[in-house]
Amino acid sequence: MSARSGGGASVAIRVSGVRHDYFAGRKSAGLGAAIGPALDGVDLEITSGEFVALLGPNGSGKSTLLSAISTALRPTSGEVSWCPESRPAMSEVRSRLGVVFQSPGLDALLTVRENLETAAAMQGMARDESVRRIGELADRLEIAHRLDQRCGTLSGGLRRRADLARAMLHGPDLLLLDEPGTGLDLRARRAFQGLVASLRAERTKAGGKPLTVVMSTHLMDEAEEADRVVLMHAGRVAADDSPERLRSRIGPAVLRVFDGDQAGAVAMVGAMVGAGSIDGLDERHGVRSVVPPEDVAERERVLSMLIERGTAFEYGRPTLGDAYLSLTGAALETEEHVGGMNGESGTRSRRSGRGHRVGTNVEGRA
Amino acid sequence: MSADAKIVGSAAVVALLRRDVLRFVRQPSRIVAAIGTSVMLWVVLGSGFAGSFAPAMAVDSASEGETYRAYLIPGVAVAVVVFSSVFGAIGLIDDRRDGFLQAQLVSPTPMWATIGARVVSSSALAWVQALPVLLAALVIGVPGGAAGLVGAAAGMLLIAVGMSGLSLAAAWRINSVQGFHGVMNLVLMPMWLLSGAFFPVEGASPWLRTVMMVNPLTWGTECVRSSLRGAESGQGAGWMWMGAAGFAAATLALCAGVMKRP
Repeated sequence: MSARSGGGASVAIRVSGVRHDYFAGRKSAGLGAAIGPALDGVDLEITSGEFVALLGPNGSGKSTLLSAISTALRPTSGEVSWCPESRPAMSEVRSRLGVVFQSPGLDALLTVRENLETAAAMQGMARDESVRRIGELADRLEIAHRLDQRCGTLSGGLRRRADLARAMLHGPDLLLLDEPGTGLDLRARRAFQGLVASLRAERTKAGGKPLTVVMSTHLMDEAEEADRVVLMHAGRVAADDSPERLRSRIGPAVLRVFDGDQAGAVAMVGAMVGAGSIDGLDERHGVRSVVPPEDVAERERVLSMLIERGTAFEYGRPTLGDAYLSLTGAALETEEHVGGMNGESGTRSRRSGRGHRVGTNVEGRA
Repeated sequence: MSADAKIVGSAAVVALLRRDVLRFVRQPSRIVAAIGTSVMLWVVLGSGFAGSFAPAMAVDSASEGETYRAYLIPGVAVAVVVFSSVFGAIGLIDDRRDGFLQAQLVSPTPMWATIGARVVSSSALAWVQALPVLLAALVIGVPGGAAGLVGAAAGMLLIAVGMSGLSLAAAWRINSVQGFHGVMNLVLMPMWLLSGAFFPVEGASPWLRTVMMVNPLTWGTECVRSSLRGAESGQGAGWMWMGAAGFAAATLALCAGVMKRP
């Protein structure tokens, strides 16, 4: 089921049958062989004003798709249309886009102000207008006191904010964020997400054209903020729905058993809850996710058994990572996922034996 | 081209030029390297190779009575221009890696402005860095006088545009600085060595003379040298000027052909 908002809202982006191949060498020189498709027949429609997250691990195709939407990449086949009803010229499309790349598009040797002035000129903004917008955005994104500081000396979080100011300078209708949380700690990431959300809300409140946001990420907590999550796997769309609906596909709860050195514990849980209810195995991190028995007594028996055996486990609401594992059989990159488990209360974080950081609300460890 | 595109493009060119100048002045090592390279080349080569190239100088009628140090000045100026142009192109690879180029390409800035700003800033900075070499020419004495200095500066500008265009076109297709250096060493070093910068074309063996005469950098070097010597001492200087200007125009066309949005 799709979570598209519909309701007469105009289509901001239409992706039709997009395929893209990367080549090992230079294709034009006939040297390269295709390294499998980075995108393999992707169809997607994004409505004006939506916040869509493209979620998947490295190599799933999300950044390639975002590059195609940003006009930075021409797909091998298929079509990306921007505002397909009006079919604007490419220069107009680009003037409506604001893009925050994985590597901030800022010159480290220039100050924030100089970078923003350069960006404003590239957008064709008049001098007075650019001065006004730089002031506004610097205040709004809390970088006014850093305007005359060189970008190379800014922290990762401040650089992201400065880059967001660069992308929003000309008041774009479509904001594209490529892995905006990369290199940021949880606090900086949340602050950045908050700023994006408030920019969207302000645009809606002002009654202007709504701000459409498309973000690629491998982090569940970032994707949770979106109206719609597109799960990308092997260059294809594995699922496309709201975060809540994606999670609800799993069931009300998930039991995660950490393999550790006890491979037997995972097998035992699998046997206890029934093979049919096993969602998937994250082999890289040695984590098996299963839907626990619905019967309370049976569930208690399983949990007690795990505690007795000294097996580390988590029990709580499913995450987008569980949905991804269930749908694709592959795990999201989880090295940075924090607070992923949607526990009702008392959620806390800890690091498991393999560096897999998780949030838990019920746990057992001898 | 629409009026809007012209306005966006012109403003972008100015902003990108300003950016490159700021980048240059904020990297003192580049300024030191530019001056140091020219001084080192002139002093070391001028002192160390004067005897080695004496026979070749004797064959060259145009350099009659000229010291090797005086002969070397245009070559040093050309060296500074060539290698500074390469630095400008490396900036393009850095911008791609750092995300600045992507931000530029997804903006409405027309490609002619992107290419124009790159070529102008790269060649202008290379040219400015080579101008101090002309001061050395003043110390030695310039037979061509003030007009000769202006002519030499114009010749250096043509070389700067040509080499910047060539380097930028190569950098557009190469993703790593190491790869770019490899290609540049393969192409630019022989071009520079065989440009008449070190030894006169007339003193070379027949096959090497042919190679040197078809080398576009020889044409630019000869423009600079003939200007400093005075117009009357130049052999076929008019053709050299046309060749140097043609080479600069050809590399601009190459840039326009190669540097395209996806």
